[in-house]
Amino acid sequence: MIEIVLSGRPNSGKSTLFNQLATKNVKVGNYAGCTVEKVTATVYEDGVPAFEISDLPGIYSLEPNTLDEKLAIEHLGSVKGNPIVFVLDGNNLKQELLIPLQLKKQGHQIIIAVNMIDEVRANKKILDLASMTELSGIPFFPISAKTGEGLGSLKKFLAKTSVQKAPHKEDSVDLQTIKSEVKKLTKFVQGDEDRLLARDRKIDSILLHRFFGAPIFLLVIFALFQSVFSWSAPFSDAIESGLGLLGDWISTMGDGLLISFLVDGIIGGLGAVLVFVPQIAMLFFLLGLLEYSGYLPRVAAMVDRFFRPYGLNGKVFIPLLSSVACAVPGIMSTRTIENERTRLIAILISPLMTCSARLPVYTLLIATFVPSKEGGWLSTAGFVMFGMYLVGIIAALAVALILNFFDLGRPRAKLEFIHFPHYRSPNWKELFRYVLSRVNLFLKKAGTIIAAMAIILWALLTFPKMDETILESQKAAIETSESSQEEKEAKLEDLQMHWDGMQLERSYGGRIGKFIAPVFAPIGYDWKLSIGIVASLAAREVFVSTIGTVFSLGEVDESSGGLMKALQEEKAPDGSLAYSIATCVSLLLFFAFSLQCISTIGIAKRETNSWKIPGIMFIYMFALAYGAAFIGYQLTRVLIG
Amino acid sequence: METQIKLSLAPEGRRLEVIEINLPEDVKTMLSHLGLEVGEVIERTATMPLGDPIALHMGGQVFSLRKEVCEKMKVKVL
Ligand SMILES: Nc1nc2c(ncn2[C@@H]2O[C@H](COP(=O)(O)OP(=O)(O)OP(=O)(O)O)[C@@H](O)[C@H]2O)c(=O)[nH]1
Ligand SMILES: [Mg+2]
Repeated sequence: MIEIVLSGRPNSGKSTLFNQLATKNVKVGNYAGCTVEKVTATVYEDGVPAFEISDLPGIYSLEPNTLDEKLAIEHLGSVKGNPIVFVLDGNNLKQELLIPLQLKKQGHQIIIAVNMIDEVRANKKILDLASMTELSGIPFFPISAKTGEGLGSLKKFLAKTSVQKAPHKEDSVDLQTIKSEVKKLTKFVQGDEDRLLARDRKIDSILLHRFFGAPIFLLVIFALFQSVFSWSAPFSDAIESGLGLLGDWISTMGDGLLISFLVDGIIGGLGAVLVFVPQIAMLFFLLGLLEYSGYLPRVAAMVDRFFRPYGLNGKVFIPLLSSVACAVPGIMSTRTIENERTRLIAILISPLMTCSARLPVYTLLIATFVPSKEGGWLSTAGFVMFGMYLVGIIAALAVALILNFFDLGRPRAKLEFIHFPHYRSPNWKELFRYVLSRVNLFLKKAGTIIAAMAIILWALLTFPKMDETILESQKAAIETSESSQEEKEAKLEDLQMHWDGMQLERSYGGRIGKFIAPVFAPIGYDWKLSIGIVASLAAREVFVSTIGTVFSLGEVDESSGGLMKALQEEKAPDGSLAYSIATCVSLLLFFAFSLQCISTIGIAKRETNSWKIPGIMFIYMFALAYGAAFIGYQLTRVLIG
Repeated sequence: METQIKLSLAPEGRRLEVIEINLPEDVKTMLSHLGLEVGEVIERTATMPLGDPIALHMGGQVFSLRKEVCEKMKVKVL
């Protein structure tokens, strides 16, 4: 099947078009450099595969300046003869036509998709594309990738194209000639007013205001995190009660191994993580809103000056913000940073940003140990959560500052600039599909890594089984004793609890936990939390599922109030409460800093072509995590007791 | 005759003709890809709260450039 390539300047709408043609869900955002790698998919016409289409990163010229541009230009060079659809912003033909005309002269088969035709109309411009086609010999198609306008005829045309065997190639391509050709073509444009620009400027005068600009930004971010926390709460509660009911119902069917596997392993472990689906959906939805707005690149420019002493620049802002969703796309989006030195620092600090995998852990800990006070829309939990995001940012900046003292052996950029797109409204359908795809990804992770870990841990914590005849004989002794019925029941419950606790401690998992517990004792973890920490090296959410299983197995009465209550009431061997606010502080800090994510290690290896950077990353983050947790734990104990 | 001023000192919202760019060739080329060249008309549209970078309308789009770069360019207010 023929491969058709989408190219164009950054933010011209290539990925939007790609999603429309191939009904896919690649990331779209209203900022330059949203796409950083090639993606290919099949386009169907009347149910049959018609052609393959590739989406590429955007390019400002044919001379690459960043890694993503290099990748795009290399791919264009490798597909000589294949049709290239050059997607451009119809409002800006003078600048946008330079590259496709150059490509044409280099022997490429070019089709021009004049995109954003809806905005061209809003600007009251008239484009005579028929005359442009005639004059240039390149087919021009008016489209709006966002609304779908004109896509039918473009698709039909593309389905009929073929690879050109011996492309006509001119020996030297003189930029001056190209410019004069562009001039001739732009004669067919009527109207040169840019109403959108005038509107942008009004919005900029508020959002980039000398005094209000920074407070507005902080307010936006603060509102974002408060909303993630409060708006999703009812949905999470509903899922939690649903799972609780399901567990109770299954428990009524008996108390064999299978039931324990289902209730403690699957519902206790995996369910503990599923509760966070609404929060994750909310986070991606709100981040998506920001990404579509056009505000982000402006914030990037605003923070540029602020970031410079740290060896960073404004362009680091988008990777860092993406890392709030997940460090993997965050690290990938550092490809758009021209400055290689800055890029390396950005890769090293991205995992310190509070990613969505930390959210379940933080939420559980905060909900369990932080006394809650609600004041309408605000809540203490929301504040602590916001504080955790701040901790991540401050740590990232501090590490950057330290790294900036080293000669990292990477060149600095010659020119740094940031593109300000028009402010735009979100593409709602695409945004919802994007949120769904992220939720899907989370469920997949839950269904694979987290489920596998939950099952393994359930098995580790259940076997070997102690000899139950001892329990039975002790139970019989109580039954036949002289005490009243009430006393007997209390004694039986006590016995069962004691037995379950012993069983848990003597299981393989319990033995492993006890073996490693001394390592974590200085930061306040007993063997149960220690095993959670070790298991969560695979993925942070595993911590929640693991302790979900640990406490579900150790619990007598399944419906006694869930994991939170179990944690609050857990007793240490001496009978005092096992966990306190100090444990909570220690765990929060540990999770804030340590790199417990196989995917991040993998992507850092891929993006830097060596194990060195991920190695450094893992070690420095672990050291930081342990150190901070130690100080946090000891200090809180001294201060609060 | 109009006076030439550094781009970094140019007023917002006025049309500016680029007169001179005192930067290395490769940087000049990169700027030309954004539509900033001697002879082109640009406009300063905004300044970031910390006074740097500066947002400029050039080649039909808006880009922010650092002040240190703008200091190396001279423009004429039209
Ligand atoms: N009004 C309007 N907006 C559009 C249209 N096509 C795309 N957009 C918006 O333009 C922005 C950029 O779209 P993308 O598809 O991510 O652009 P891209 O060319 O893939 O960008 P990079 O991957 O960064 O090079 C998004 O906010 C889109 O919603 C269109 O036809 N009309
Ligand atoms: Mg894209």
